[in-house]
Amino acid sequence: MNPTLCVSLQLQLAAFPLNVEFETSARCLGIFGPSGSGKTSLLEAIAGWRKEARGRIVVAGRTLQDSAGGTNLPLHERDIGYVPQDALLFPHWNVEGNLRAHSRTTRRAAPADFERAVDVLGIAPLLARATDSLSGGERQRVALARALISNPALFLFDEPLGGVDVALRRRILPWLVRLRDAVDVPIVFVSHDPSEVQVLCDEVIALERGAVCARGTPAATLRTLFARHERFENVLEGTVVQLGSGTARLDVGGVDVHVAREGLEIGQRVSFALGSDDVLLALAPPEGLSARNVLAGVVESVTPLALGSRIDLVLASKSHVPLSATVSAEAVLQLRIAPGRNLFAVFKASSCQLLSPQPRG
Amino acid sequence: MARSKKEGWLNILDCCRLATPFDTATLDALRVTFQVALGATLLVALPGVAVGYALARARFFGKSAVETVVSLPLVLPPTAIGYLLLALFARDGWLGERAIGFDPGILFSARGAILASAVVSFPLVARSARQAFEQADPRLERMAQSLGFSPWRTFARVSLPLARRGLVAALVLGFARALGEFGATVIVAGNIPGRTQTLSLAIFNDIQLGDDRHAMQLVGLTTLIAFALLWTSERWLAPRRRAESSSR
Repeated sequence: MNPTLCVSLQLQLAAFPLNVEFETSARCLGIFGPSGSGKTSLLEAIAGWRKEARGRIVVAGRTLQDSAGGTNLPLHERDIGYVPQDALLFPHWNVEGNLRAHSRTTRRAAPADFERAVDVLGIAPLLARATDSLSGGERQRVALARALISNPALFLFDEPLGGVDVALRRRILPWLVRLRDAVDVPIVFVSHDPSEVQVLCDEVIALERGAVCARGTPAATLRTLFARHERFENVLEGTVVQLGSGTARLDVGGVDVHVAREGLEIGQRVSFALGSDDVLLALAPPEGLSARNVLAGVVESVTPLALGSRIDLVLASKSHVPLSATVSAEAVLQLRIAPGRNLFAVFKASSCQLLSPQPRG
Repeated sequence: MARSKKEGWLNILDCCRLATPFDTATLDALRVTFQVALGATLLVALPGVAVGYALARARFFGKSAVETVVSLPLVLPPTAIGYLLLALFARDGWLGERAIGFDPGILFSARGAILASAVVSFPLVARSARQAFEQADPRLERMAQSLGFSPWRTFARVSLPLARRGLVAALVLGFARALGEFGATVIVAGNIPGRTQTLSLAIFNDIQLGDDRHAMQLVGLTTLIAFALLWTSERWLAPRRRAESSSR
């Protein structure tokens, strides 16, 4: 059974109207866009926090709102697990109180849900703490757990990694991946970080001034959006198949990729980022090279940038792994890079930034 | 039952009479004052908090008119309020014996003093309660509802606890206002020693009679009570301010 979400909403914002319409069966739908593009307003409207929003919202066959038909379920009947940017923990209860907040409401939660959420998000040591003693990352994890326990029919995450620094983001991201894999209800995930969207989502909707401006798979949509940017962050996902002394070999959709070992274990699912400017292109497989990765591929498209070009490749494998490289204009001419040309992509194992080694347990 | 309780109170007061330098008239005024102020506070607590919440959260047509009406007793002369109540509960008034079929027992009784004080302290309680509710983030209420709390449960479990300190302060303020009430009380309830004569009425009485020593004694007593009340309410609010500033 595919969880489905149909949204068609109109809402007048201060600077522009929000007018969004989509239908999706994605497990995790990314809403991507710059600050002030209406992402948060969209989530709040779906949650029912914006009384003035008009339109239609259907979650897994249940109509939450249908302004034309006169349906508009109140907030507490919408069954939505909303995690706003600032977590919004109840200050008058401790962490456990927040997690059990809804326990006597109509929304039943089995004790197993509580245990599972505490386990999935690793917050057992925090249960007795006051909410104002938590760090930004801890607050977000508690808010995620609270939403998970409330057993909703749809999750709305508004930049759960927005308020925390980059190092912490990298540590929370795996928890989000775990949460995504632990539930079988759809997630709408708002972010302005391309790497996060690529790691978590299987579909992306890009917003620009309140309207959908692009839509599709994360890699393809973000490549379109970042067409004019010098650097594109490739995000690849693979399974650890072999551990060497300093590097680990991953199977990325049938392609072997070496990354820094960093405490990985065989069988782990791993996501990593690779900047397009860290990828070199060669006409023939170079020999006597220190870089660990030399991968054959075919040029799919060439996008001219201000200083060079972005070359979008498809790696030679059965699952057509996309990879982008940024090279100078001279290189494009010299190597006669054009769509359809066979090339080799070269990059160092240490250029691959691990995003989400899945936490153990 | 109520009777024996009352006698118990009287016994305690008798003991106080023996143990304090105050005379019977002073102790009577003290007792009436606290009875009236406490009764008035209990009477305004529910409507005051409810109106405060409505003003803080609800959006409705004519809200500014309601706001003005709520604050009206604050600026009206208390004697005018007293006179309105007198007219309302007089034998031929809208809420008098003729209209409702029985004597509500408001005029020239402790009930009247309580009602008059309640009306006068209502705006203070409602306005302070409104501020207390406004200080809490309304998004927390929405979050509670998104987690499955009904609106009523959200109010009881989130809005009230978040505003509790401000609400207690609002009630203390209302109590303090009722304590010093004079103008409305004297018109509705009269100035009957032992029944409706509160400290402020007793002071007025003493000055009229030229008993300066006794008046001064009552003024000192009133000042002491006012000081204790204000100090307690400030202390009650203080830890919250500290907590708020440290969490930001």
